[in-house]
Amino acid sequence: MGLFDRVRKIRESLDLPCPGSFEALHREAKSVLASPQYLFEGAKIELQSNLSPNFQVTHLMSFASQANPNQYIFGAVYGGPRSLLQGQIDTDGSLFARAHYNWKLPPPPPLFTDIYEQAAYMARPQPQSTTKFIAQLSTDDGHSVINLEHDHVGKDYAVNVKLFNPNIVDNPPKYAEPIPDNKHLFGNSKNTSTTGIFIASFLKSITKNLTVGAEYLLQKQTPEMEESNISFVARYSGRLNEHFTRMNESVKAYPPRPNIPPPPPYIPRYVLTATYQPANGVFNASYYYKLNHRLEMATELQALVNGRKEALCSAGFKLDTHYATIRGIVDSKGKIGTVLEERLAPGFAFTLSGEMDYSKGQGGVGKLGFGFSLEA
Amino acid sequence: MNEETKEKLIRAADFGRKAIHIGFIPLIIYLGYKNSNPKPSLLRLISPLAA
Repeated sequence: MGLFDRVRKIRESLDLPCPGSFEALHREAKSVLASPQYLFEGAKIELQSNLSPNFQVTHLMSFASQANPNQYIFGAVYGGPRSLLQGQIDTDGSLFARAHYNWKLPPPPPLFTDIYEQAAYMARPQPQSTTKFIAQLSTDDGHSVINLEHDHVGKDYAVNVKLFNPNIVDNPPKYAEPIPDNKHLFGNSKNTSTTGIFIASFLKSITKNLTVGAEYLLQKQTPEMEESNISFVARYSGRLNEHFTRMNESVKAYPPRPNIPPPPPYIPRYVLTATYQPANGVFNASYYYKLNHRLEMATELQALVNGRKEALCSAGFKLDTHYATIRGIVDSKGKIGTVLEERLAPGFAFTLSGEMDYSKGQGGVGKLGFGFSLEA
Repeated sequence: MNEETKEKLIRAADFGRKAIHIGFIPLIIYLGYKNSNPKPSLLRLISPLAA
């Protein structure tokens, strides 16, 4: 038996979990704390029509906001067996486009008799190999961003390569421009250079709970400037298995009540993620804890460790009740925000958002928003 | 690299960008409509309440 086979055997015997992708490291905390995504100002109307299970069209109108002009966004999503196409265009003519292609179809999920076990399976990241194209195209060329990405998630590791605005035929740097009359002096200098932002990252599960990884970033936005950066990450996630069984048993003991949806399955977890960039001293840590079937909590710390010492800490919760989702967030700069999403009928929801920034103005600056969403 | 080739590549990239800008949403709608079974009513593109 060769060395390679022996290493593979050892790796298989460790039975390490799939780490998920590098971007999704903070996903649990972000799903609770991503306040700008939920907090809005003014009025918002969202209409979504499901033309078929894998084809949706959305209309989003937002108006009556002091900070942002009135806007209408049209969106369309199509999902095939291996691909995903998503597009959004607004009244200014800027397009957001996303196309995914999955090279490796996940194995069909095993048959579950228990919805809780199924949910636990669904929450685990699965091995995949996806090529992504993401573009933000605006009507003036200077603001367009094109992102090419390949995401390979193996059984116990993940590799990701990203190219932002890659351009292989940019102008040569000013200091190495060929001089037409003096060809013999600058014989080797080229008339092109490569610019863009290039990112490569690697993640590996070390034990059943611990994942470590690193990301390398090379920034070359103009031909003359070049900057590189490396960041390290560690993620510890725990599962409380006995607790899991006990909580779900206690829920199953109650017979389902009519008109009231059953509680979402409880996958008890706590996740601690820390990212550190030694070059500029950016330290980022997040902690997520799912307390029970309906309540999730998260805290996040963003700190600048060397040089200008600064930090921002925020804490928040997400509560799912039968007919509503409530989110709350408070941060150390004195900003608090709450979003209430009330599901009035199937497919029809009312959203109320409030935000208060006590660090600004005299006594604080508030923002209020309300919205309706209809889905059919 | 030849100046001419460079020009051509830049123009091709500009054309590709424009093509995506104009054609991406129609492409999604076409693919979605073609691969839907049964075929949905096109009025539903405008309003979710249409039959």
